[in-house]
Amino acid sequence: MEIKRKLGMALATTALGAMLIGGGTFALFTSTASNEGNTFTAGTLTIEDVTGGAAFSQSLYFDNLAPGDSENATLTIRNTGSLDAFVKISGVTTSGALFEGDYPLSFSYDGATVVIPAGGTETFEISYSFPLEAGNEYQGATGTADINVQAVQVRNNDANNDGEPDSWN
Amino acid sequence: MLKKKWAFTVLSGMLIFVLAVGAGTFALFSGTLSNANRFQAGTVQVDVNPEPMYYTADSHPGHSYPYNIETGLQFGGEALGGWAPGDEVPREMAISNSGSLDVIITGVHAEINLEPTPGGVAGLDQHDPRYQQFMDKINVVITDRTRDLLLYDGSLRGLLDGASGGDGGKAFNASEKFVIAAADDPRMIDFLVRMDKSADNDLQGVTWVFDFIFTAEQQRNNPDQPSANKSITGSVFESITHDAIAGALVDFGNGYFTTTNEDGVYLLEIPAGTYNASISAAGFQSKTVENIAILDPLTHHDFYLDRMVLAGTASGLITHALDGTGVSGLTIKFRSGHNTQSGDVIGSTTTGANGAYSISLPAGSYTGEIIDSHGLYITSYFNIVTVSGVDTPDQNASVSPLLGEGDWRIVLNWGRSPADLDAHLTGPKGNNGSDRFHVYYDNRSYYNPNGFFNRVLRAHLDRDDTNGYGPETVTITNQFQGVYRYSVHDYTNRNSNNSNALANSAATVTVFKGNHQIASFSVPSQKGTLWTVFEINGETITPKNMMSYVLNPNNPGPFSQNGESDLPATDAEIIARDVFTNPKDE
Repeated sequence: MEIKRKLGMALATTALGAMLIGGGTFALFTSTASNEGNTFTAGTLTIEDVTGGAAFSQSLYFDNLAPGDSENATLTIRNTGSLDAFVKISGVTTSGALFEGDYPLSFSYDGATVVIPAGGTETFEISYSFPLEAGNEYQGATGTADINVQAVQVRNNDANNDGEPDSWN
Repeated sequence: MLKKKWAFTVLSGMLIFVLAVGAGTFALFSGTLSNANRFQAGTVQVDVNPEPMYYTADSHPGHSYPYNIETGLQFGGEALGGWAPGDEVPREMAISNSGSLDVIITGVHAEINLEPTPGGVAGLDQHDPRYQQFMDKINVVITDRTRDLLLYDGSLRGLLDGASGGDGGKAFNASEKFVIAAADDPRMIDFLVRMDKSADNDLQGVTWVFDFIFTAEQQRNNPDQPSANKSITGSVFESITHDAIAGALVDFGNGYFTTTNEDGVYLLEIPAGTYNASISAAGFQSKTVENIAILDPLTHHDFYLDRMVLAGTASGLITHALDGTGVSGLTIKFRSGHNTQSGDVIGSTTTGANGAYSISLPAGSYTGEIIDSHGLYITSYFNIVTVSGVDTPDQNASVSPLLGEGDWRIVLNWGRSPADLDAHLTGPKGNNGSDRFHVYYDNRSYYNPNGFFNRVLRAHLDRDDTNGYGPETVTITNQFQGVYRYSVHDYTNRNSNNSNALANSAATVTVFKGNHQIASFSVPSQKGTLWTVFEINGETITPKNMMSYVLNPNNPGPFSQNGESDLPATDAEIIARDVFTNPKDE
């Protein structure tokens, strides 16, 4: 959008100059050349969860947890857009009795930003831990956890060239 | 930052326009998603049945009297009329895991229960002196039936928790703890409660109510796991007599081994798994038993060892009965014992070039079954012996080609000496004829009739062996009615009247009829030069096994024999006459 406007302004300036020069001559052979059909399409930034269901659905104990359990899971994210993307796990949203009380089920993950090229796939490790101290009040308790993933364009968004986006939105 | 610099450059030329646009430029292309997960905590829950184990008629909700006079102290755990000093009542309890997690049973204790039972009976308060006496006069034995493992044997006071005035109950140690998996069958626990005879009259008519409580913990992530070892037990026996073997080493490898006690019994704790066990004991053959699964808490496995017997080698030749040549490619299967034609085959071999065979077997007596896979020879049997650590050669036998249905074949084999044993067949000249024919080395065939155009072969000496071993073979065809008599004569020692050479010759006579071996004979251990082996009359074969001497009738001296007197002298006389009248060329 901005590029288009800038080009428009440049063309206008050139035309103005040509008119001023033309004002001092009587007749000259003239010609104009037209560059037509320039097309501009904005890229897309979309990520898709290709884990194949809940990340922890393949873990052993997720539906029969005992205090002291901890297991890892892998989240697989594909960049299905046309632009390279910064991607990270931005957080886990939990609900249910299993995530309440003094010794709730908790998650840990590396929140580092990863660049996924357009069309590429990356995996993200996340683990849960159910404290050994959890008492009988947790027997049979349930809960849900949404692992949230965030993405933003890479180009024009890494002024320091440090692999971290200047802004996530 | 880069983006901001770029925006500033543009501003220098197009200040007003870019400012208007710049207010909306800090949005970036972005996206989000979330992966939804559901979690559920498991449960630890154990139940016991029956509940209660011990009860009285009064405490039963239906007031049914629990004592069954037919089965004694079994049903409800109360003696007729209530407990008396000296009563001892067994009960069983099933502990089941009804939760979703595997559990460890970590201990057992008892607690006083002051709630009235469903039958309305309340137990005695712990501050009553009779309660104190009761705690000490009741003995409780608790056993894990699966492992036959004693879990508690002591007073009720020891089993009661502190709040009930007791010593705190029983916390299981690592080897007493046990796991009940979520899917397992209930675990059976045996109780035996006894009221000591020293309980006094103060206890008469008093009721006490207790709860027995097993405690459970989740197994997973539990730092206090039961001992991982399983137990295996059993005995080591002698294989034939089943006598127990004391001091036998039972070795499962990796340092897990033990020895049997004086009763031949072993017991070993070992991690769960599948093992190969090596069993050894002095005087017995060591043995390895593979793939013993030790997965249950208690596995029972007995072992059997054979007594040490050193092997010995038997060898010899299998020859063609008609020409004495070796027959290769015959299978010989060996069975224990002489004249054993069925049962387990404990060794086998195949005759090689020239019909030679050799077999190593534990010292002992065996029967070899000679089988021709091509079906050209009659399956036959012969006896051998093996002596510990020794080669025993010249244990020969012969095989006969197939015979006509009514034909007989008699094969003589023997050892290296004497050099010349001869087969003699005497029989009737015609059906039930009183005249006797004599087929032997000098008269090999008997025909009757014996015309030029009409000649019928009745008996034939197929082979005369004169240098030891045999075979020497006679075949009977077109059998007449009457008595045929088969004898073996020691030609080498024909002039002796005191020879035991024939007895020591290891001579055997094998009789075939049709396509079967129907009899075999071994030379008796008696002196003599003539072994009258058997008679044939029709289908019947009658053993004789008599030893006698055949002396030259032309020489002075009496004709004598030292066998039984029922030997018709005529046949022996015929043999004597013919042998000495027709000596072999020497």
